[in-house]
Amino acid sequence: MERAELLAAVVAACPTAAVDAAPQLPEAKVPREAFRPLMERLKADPALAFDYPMSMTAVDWPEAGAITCVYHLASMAHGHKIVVKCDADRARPEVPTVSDLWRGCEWFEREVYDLFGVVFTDHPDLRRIMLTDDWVGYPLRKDYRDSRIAGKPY
Amino acid sequence: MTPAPLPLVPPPAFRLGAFLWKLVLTPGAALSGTVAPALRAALGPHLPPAGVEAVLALLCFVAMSGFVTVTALVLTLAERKVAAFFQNRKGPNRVGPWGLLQPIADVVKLLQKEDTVPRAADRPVFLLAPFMAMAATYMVLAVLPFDRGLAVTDLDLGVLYITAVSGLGVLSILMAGWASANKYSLLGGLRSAAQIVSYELSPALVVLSVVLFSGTLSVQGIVERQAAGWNLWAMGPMGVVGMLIYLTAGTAEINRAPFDLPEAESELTAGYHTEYSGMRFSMFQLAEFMNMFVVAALTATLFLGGWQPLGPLAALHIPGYLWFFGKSGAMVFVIMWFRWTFPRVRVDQLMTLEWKILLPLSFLNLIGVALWTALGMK
Amino acid sequence: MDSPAPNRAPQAKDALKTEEYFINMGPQHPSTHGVLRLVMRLDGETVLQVVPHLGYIHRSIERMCEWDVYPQLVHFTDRMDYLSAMSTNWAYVQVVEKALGLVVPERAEYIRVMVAELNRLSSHAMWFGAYCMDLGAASAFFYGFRERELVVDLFETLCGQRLTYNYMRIGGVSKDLTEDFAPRVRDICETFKRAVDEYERLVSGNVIFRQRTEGIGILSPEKAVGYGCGGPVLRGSGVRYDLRKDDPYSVYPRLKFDVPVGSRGDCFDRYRVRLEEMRQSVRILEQALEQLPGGAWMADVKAVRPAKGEYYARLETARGDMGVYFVSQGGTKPYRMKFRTACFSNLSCLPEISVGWKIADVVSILGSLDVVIPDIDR
Repeated sequence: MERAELLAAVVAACPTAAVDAAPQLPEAKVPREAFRPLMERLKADPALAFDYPMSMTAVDWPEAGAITCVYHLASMAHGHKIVVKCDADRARPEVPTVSDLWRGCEWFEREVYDLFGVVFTDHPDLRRIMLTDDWVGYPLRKDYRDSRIAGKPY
Repeated sequence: MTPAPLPLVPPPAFRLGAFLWKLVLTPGAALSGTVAPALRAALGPHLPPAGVEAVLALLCFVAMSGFVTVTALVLTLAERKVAAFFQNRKGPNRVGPWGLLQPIADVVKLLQKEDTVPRAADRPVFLLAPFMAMAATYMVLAVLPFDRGLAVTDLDLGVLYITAVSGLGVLSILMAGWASANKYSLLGGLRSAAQIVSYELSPALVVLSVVLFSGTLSVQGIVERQAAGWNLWAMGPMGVVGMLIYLTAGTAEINRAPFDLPEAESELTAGYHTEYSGMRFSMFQLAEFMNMFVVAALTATLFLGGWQPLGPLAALHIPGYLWFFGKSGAMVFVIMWFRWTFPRVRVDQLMTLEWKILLPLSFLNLIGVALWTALGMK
Repeated sequence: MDSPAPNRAPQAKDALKTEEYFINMGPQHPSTHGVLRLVMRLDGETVLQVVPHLGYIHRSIERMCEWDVYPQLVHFTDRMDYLSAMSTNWAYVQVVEKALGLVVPERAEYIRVMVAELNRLSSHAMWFGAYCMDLGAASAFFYGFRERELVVDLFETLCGQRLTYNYMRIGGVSKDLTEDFAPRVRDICETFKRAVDEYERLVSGNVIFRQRTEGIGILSPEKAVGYGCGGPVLRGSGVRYDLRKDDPYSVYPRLKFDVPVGSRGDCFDRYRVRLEEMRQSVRILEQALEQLPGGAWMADVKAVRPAKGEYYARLETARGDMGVYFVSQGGTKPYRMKFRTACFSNLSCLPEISVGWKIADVVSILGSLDVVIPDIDR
């Protein structure tokens, strides 16, 4: 499916989505309430058929008070790709899990939980994955400070 | 033989040169025909008969210990060289000429290692296990016929005795596995128990078929009977099948690859001897090497004629023990060959092999040998 | 022991009480290939549950990337998948080049293709050895390493490193090819053609090897896709998906090669796919060597300041789909850098596909997934 067509389908499925065809990969930013239904649609709709979780991560935006979860999805059958973004509130970050749709996201989400502190609701096994269980703080957040780290971040 | 503690009274016509020559050519006759009677005669007046036998047994033990040490050293080097040969490597070649002194260096290294005992271990059992492993091996060595008349003892029930004591090795592995208080060790020990108990059966049946064919339970007797032809072909097709079964099951019984499940390195780190170090660890290694030799030697004895020369080559008058060691060495090489070319089988596949393939096959083999014997194909 | 319920007669099942237990495989264990830790819940030898614990070598590379300017980040990627570091290097420089809109000289693209394919060869050869080692076939290990050495030596002359190459640069490669590169690559191609056939002869037909791999750890195509698996793991399950063909990058569209796939998704299919990939890599190398143009090997790169925005690019490493995602705020350092590595996703299917198998099979399955731990933990 072409980029414009793809984003039109996303808007049709989720009218509140802010789509952007300009970047390298087509992007759709959705509010949290609409996020889960859209993802289910992306997976289930045979015309879209996003079955391959390419990547999933998060970006911390302290000024905006948000942690943006970024999902890169691909379709094996159609060969198209999409980026879906969903903002979590930085003070109380919560996003519904999609690990039941794409099993690969189970570990991706655990990693984001571990390093950003985003809680994925209904996740089957939300534990820290990289760090020790008693680690304090979320190292990939921009305001994370650790006496063992030298230098200046971005 | 080591010098006796009391002055020897030489027999009337004793000449040292002739004796030594006899010792080289027919050590069996020299030792059991000359030395043992002389010792008995010398000790007889001083000790009760049981004491005399005890002294003789002790001397045999000392001799066997020397033999075990030398064999184990040779086998460790041989194993490493054979492994290197299979792996496009040179193997040990730094210590001594062609790396010949490498085993000595290994022993010195192992002696220097700390002898660790885990805190949670069952201490007495943990410490005893390696010695048990050695003991089991020594017991089998007692009846191995190295040459005509050259064995520590020739029991009337030698074959039965071998079948009985060769299973004792499992005890040491179980003890080590249990006492280490380590799950890997425990798994290794239990695997070993299951494995050895299973793999006792088919070798026993194969040995039984040999006994049936030879009509004797004495190991020396079985070798004597092969003067006309080795069991390998004297028993017809059953000889070949029997030897293959015996070699396979024997390899499994001594936990050598591809049946090295009790110590499966990539699964159980080191299995039952995970917690052992230094000399205690090397005792297990020593036992493993000696067990390998024992299985090879028994294969040679039961099927390849032991110390009997090969038909026409008898005219060469090669001493019997050279034949014995030559045949055993060839079998040792085959067992090493297994180890360095096969992947490891899985635990359930191991059991399948024994219970579904080897055991029925050895029963059939036994029936075949029985018919062969009944038909008079001797 | 629990007494049986009063209202029924005691049965053998009640008398023989078994208990599940846990075993901790790793972080130091011979077959976890590094510092992976698997906690296994077992019933005897049967695996009921596997829980991987990661992070023993987590270095927070993603965070460290926020400290340094773009050209300095290449070496971090060496430390992820250190067995195919050329590809991980490339994955990183590729995304930055895309962000900059940089046109890489054609010669550099060909050099990259060649070194990446050579690295694939060395990585798969090493995997072959390590996998056979996991299954207990120690000798095959040396065969894999013998061929790998040629490639590693070549890389050493090319960029001075044997493992962490740091060879790619944003805009090209750090050095031009050496004069002896082409003949040596031809030599490597010939060697590998022979070597892969030799591997097949050595291992593929071995009964024990087949028993240990066929039908073990079956990963269905749907699951492989759902877990985000890539590379030989995905293709072993029968999904014909290779980024070199399906999401083409660099000069791969100009090169002819096949994408081998398995049919059942078991360990043996993953093994076959990797061996076949080695043959295809040889094909690619031969063509690339033919087509290799002259000219510059490095673009004229002024300042690396990607425009504000987000970028994602991926390529096929020896282990699968490696993606790099970064967010730029227009500065000289990335705002956020994410490495999506192949092994992380490939390993995530392990808990599911290893349930119900034996401990030895978990080793086999884990080996067939070909994980590199630093690539998982980053």
